[in-house]
Amino acid sequence: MRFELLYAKHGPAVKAYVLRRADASIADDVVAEVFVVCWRRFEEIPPEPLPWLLGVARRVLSTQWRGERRRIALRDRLAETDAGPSPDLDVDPHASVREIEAETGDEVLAHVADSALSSALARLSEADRELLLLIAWDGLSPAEAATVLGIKPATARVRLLRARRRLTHALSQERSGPATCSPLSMEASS
Amino acid sequence: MTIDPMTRLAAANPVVDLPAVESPERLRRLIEDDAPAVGLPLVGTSDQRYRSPSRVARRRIPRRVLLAVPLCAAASVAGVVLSSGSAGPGVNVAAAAYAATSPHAGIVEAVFFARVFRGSQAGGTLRQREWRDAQTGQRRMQNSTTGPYGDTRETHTLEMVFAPGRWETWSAGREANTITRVTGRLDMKISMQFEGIALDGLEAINLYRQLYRLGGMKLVGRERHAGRLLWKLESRPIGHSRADGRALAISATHMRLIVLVDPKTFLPVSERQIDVALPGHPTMVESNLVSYKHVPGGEAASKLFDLAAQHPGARVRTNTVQSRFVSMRRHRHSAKRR
Repeated sequence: MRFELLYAKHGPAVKAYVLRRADASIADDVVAEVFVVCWRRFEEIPPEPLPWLLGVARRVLSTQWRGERRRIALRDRLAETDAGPSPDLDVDPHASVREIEAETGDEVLAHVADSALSSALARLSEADRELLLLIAWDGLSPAEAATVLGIKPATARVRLLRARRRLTHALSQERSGPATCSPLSMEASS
Repeated sequence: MTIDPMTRLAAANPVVDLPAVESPERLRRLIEDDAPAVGLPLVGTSDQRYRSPSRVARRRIPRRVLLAVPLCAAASVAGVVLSSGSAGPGVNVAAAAYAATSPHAGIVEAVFFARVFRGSQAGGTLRQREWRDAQTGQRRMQNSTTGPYGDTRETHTLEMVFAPGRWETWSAGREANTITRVTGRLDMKISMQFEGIALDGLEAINLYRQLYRLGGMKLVGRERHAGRLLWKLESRPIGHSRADGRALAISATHMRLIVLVDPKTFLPVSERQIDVALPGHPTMVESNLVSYKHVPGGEAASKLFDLAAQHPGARVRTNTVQSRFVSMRRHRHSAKRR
């Protein structure tokens, strides 16, 4: 009953990962999709499967968001050809492509109640933000986070050091005044 | 006071307690939906036929019978596919079966006994002992075939070893006690055939794993066999398709596999091939798993895949072959020179 054990043991952690980053309405679907992938690639699962599963969840979420963007783009194109939004498109009719693109980060930030922290996180790149959250929220070690992100553990450690520095800097800026600089300028200043 | 940003970030974690997840039933449905609607894909090419380096050894052993049990063994392993049993244990069993039959470290030894009921070799039997080391890619088969040879009934034994870069055969009976060893870059593949069903490739376990993923068989009930209550699995009519290009070639559309599986070990205890095109759907071949065990390592185990060590008195003939690619290039080169 290895699969059931795997699901029982790590399913909640995968769902928590998804809930921290996406809307609760899609969490069960994403978790199911993760374990279907796990099923298909059962022989590839490493002895410590959680980082591997979270890596799959990350890609599933990314695919979800991409699909959503495509549907929005299609709706926008239909609107431009004066056909109006298609009633069959199962998306928020008020969302735009740009909004959905931002949503990949905004979804995460929407879950952060601390507004200063949320603004500081918004200044970071997606890669930095995800690395920090994997460690602070999902309780992974840098090496495990590296597995999720598909990078080397040494790279993850270096990135973590820099990301922490950038977050500290962004938080200090939040204290001193409203956000004015972009993640790019943050990169240059650190 | 300055709070560490990571501490502040951890404190902002929106999901502190792990949430409950849905039951695995939803997953089971998803996985069933994932299976293809019809047939099994063909993996490999059916024109890659068995080409023994020892024509002498092969002549005395009816190929169909010789190859029937490897097929049965492979198909039996394949039979543990449990994907769509409506009342079946579903995803957990399928996953456990998959894990249980996945290649592990060490050598596995299995013995099968098969009976042929129909066709030109009706009445024949085959006992196959097989060793397989998934890690090193080595495989040895010891086949004893008993069947009608003209007016008499004879038993012949053939041993084959397949290892990376090496292929050996040894035969007993009327044949000389000779080992034929072929070494080199062997790019040829083995295709085991019986009554229109062909399996391509050396690793039957890979076939099983592929079928398992594709949901090629389903749980249809239970059946008592030799006093044991076993799960009964049945394949769909096996179709011919070239959807995939890897390891399995099943070309007969009239065959079905019925496999009885041990519910604890997931091993295929008995496997029957039935022909659904014939009245009454008769069994063509039945193969039973006699034993299945892991061989402890050591010096004896290392010699398992060396026929010269197994038959010290045998004469060894060695041939070296080149890859088909090199041969083709040479052939082209010599043709140009002519």
